[in-house]
Amino acid sequence: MQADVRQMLKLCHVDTHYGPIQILRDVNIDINMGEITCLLGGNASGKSTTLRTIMGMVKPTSGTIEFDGERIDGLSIQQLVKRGISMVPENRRIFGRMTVRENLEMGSFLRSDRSGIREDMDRVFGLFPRLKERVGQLGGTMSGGEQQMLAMARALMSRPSLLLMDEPSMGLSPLFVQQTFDIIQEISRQGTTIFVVEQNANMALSIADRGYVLQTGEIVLDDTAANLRENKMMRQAYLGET
Amino acid sequence: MTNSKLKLGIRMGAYGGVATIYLCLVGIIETFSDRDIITGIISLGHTLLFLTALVTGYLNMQQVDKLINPAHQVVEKAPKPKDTIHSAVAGIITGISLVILVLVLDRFNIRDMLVNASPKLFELLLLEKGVTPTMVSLLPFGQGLAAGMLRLVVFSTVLGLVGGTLYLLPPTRRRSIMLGIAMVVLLGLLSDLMRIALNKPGWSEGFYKLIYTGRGLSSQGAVITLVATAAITSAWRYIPDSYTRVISVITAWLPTWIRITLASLLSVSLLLRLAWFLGIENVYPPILPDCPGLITSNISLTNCTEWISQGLSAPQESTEGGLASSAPAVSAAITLADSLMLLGIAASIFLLLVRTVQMSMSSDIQKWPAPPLQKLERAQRLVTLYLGVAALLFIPGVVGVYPSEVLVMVGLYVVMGLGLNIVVGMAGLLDLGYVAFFAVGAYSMAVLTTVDASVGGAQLSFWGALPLVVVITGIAGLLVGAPVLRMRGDYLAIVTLGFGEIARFLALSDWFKPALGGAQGIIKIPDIHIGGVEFVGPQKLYYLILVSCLIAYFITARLKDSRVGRAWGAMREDEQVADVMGVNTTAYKLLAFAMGALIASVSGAIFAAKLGTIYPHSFNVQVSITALGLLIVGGIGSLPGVVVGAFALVGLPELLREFSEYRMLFYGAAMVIMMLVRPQGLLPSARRGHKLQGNERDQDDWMRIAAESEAAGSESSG
Ligand SMILES: Nc1ncnc2c1ncn2[C@@H]1O[C@H](COP(=O)(O)OP(=O)(O)OP(=O)(O)O)[C@@H](O)[C@H]1O
Ligand SMILES: [Mg+2]
Repeated sequence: MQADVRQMLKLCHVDTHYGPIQILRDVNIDINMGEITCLLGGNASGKSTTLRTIMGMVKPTSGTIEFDGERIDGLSIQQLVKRGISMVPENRRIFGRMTVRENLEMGSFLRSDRSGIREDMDRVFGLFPRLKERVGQLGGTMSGGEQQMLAMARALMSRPSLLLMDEPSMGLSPLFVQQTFDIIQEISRQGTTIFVVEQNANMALSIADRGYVLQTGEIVLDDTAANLRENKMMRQAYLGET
Repeated sequence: MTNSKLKLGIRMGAYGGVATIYLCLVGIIETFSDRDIITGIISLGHTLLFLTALVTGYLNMQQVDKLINPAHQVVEKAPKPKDTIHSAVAGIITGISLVILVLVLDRFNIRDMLVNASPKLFELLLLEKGVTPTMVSLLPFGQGLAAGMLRLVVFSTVLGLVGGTLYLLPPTRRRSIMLGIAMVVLLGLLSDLMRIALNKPGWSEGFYKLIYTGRGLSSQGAVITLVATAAITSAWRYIPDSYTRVISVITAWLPTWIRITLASLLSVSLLLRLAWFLGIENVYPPILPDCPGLITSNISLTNCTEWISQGLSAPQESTEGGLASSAPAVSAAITLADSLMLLGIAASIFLLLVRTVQMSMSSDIQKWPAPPLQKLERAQRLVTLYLGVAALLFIPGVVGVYPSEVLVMVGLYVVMGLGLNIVVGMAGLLDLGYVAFFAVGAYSMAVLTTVDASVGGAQLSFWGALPLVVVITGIAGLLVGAPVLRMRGDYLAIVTLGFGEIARFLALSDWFKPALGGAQGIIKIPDIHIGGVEFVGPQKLYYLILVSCLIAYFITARLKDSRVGRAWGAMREDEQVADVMGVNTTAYKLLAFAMGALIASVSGAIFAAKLGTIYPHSFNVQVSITALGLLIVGGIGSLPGVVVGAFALVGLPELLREFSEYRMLFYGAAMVIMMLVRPQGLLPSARRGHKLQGNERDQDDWMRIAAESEAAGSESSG
């Protein structure tokens, strides 16, 4: 490993339960600063649960999570957002009866630096020009694709250093998927570390630096994206080869 | 097509029949028949009976219109006059339904089952009571059962026909007729109120005598109302324009110093009147205390100086103390301000007239002045605000005691509604036990201030106790909020409903009897004072309520557009995501409960001081239901909607005492109708309306497209 790679997030032996049911088993994930890391896996394998565990929405039953070298498991969501983690939830879940602008303002809820917020607003409008045209529209009346853009823009409004995304390509047309991934790369180029959960393994591995594969709550593969694309088991299970 | 129209007519007629029979058997027709709308011509009960037939005919025509012309696109397809025959059919069916009811009443005794199927109802239905003989003699079929039934059918048919015709009239004409009818009914209903307000010496007495008979409208009163309504509705669209024009003329042509002087004189005169009303005597001094004297040249300036000197030398050692001793001085000051103001107004009008004449003589094209738009808008806003404030301030003295009492009730519910709007409308927490906070407010005020030594003992004044009351109730809000933090939707509703009842049972219980008085409640709660002014009686309490409403309105309006309001909005939309955005949903939920509680506590505190005595049973679930209902009627989340809803659900039933028996029925009907016709509420907040209307628009588009493709299909096949 090169010396200049810094670890941003580190999951060590994380177990997560919902009540008595164990979902994550001994999960270890390292996310390097400035990289795009992807998490692949079948339905119900625990991908969203992993993100929810990082985000503090469920507490891990054992193991540790470190962010920038400090333990963050046990912190409240607000503290995590303040430290620079933000999340694009599964299924977009924008605020339907709020306008685009108000949705974005909710994204910067914990910030009070007005000029910085305005800067970031301009920045996301640069990434998503379509949102700028529709600042006054109610979120609920936007199309599915537009809602996905809004969800991503909203997450960026807290100026995160680590952006968690849960299936950003879900339900989008191929053209829109391509655009979305272009934008993810652009966000990464602007300096945000990205951890993305995807079903679309091909697409995800084409932009990612590293990949993890989760199966029934256990990490079964862990390698660079390039290696994963070549991995035989990977190709059979997720890349549609027989 | 004709066949389906006929079927429609029969179906609508059957609906109308069921509705009328329902009204009869519930007892509404009979109860309401004791009240005149137009004396000697028609009672409220019969108005209702006939209105049903009219509405049936109208709605039938609307359905016919929808049937033959689905998207309101093709003019040629619009219903024709001959289609009114179907409305007549609907009317006939409604009439026949009533005839069946009459026959049943005649043959069988169903009174054991249906208490309201009384002999009086029977007579009412045969038009032997409650309507004028002239009306019956229009159709002289003679006496007896058969003749009565025939009359019933003929009346219903004609009314169905009229209803159908009404639908076909051009919209403006239709609107003025319908408004005219509504006004007649409304004025008839308000006759008791008008008697109190108008039937007193002065100009208003003549007006009252002209329109009313003492029990209802007089026949010429009804005609005048109809004509006046028609005139006003047709002139309506000119009113805003002329208002703007008057203001623009005044701003452009009257020098600023004159405007300012006039406005100050007016304010002085108004404020002095208010001081008089609150501090000295419970009536307003008339415009120019000695107005007739003034006209009969007993004229002013000498008089005024006399009054003033009287005022100045008024005996200060008067035992009544306070403001009352300065009555002559205030009266003199009012006279002075009034005379100066009238002089000023006369002079300004003269000035303006001169300018107008000058303008029309000169060949200048631009006859009317056009001050800069910004200035004009500001002036208009100021004038409107001024008029609005003046109107709000003078309502209680003008309308009298009973309407002020109603306004006080409405105001108490406006405050409560604004508080509940925070919890339900803004934060999305469905609270059915809101009465608990109202009760805590009332009871803590009672305990802290009562002079009855057996309970309480603090014996604070209202103002001393109020901060404590607010704090106590705020804490109660937190206590209720804490256990329900993790509940949502229906669970939350049920649990809070329980809390509301618990509050009442605690107040009732023997356990708390030493502190809260048990079923006997707490007595001897003192009145509210500010300085020398004692706020007793609805006319004075009104001001207190008005101020609380304004404060509550201001607070909630500010909250709505604040960071807190946005956090509540996000929480209402999606609690989990709000959490992810960094909203501390626990804290904000508690804050919503506490804010809602402390606003309700103010309402409760004034309620306690107003009554002087409170009992547990004043705080039942009906209070919560009314508060929630007024939000729904007004439009959840909308602040003006709260005010409108309070007037509709609290004011209206208070005004119409007969309704009290049917209050719950009225609420239920209002809710159902709202949900069907206007689910977003009367005055929806922008976004909710936007959403629902958006859906409606989609639907309309969809229907139009469907209709077009259908038309295209039939063309190609034909
Ligand atoms: N709140 C919960 N309570 C109980 N079980 C849960 C809860 N949330 C998720 N689960 C279970 O945990 C397992 C993993 O869920 P998770 O949402 O992490 O899957 P996923 O990998 O994101 O799947 P998908 O690709 O379908 O989104 C599933 O079996 C699910 O039923
Ligand atoms: Mg998932």
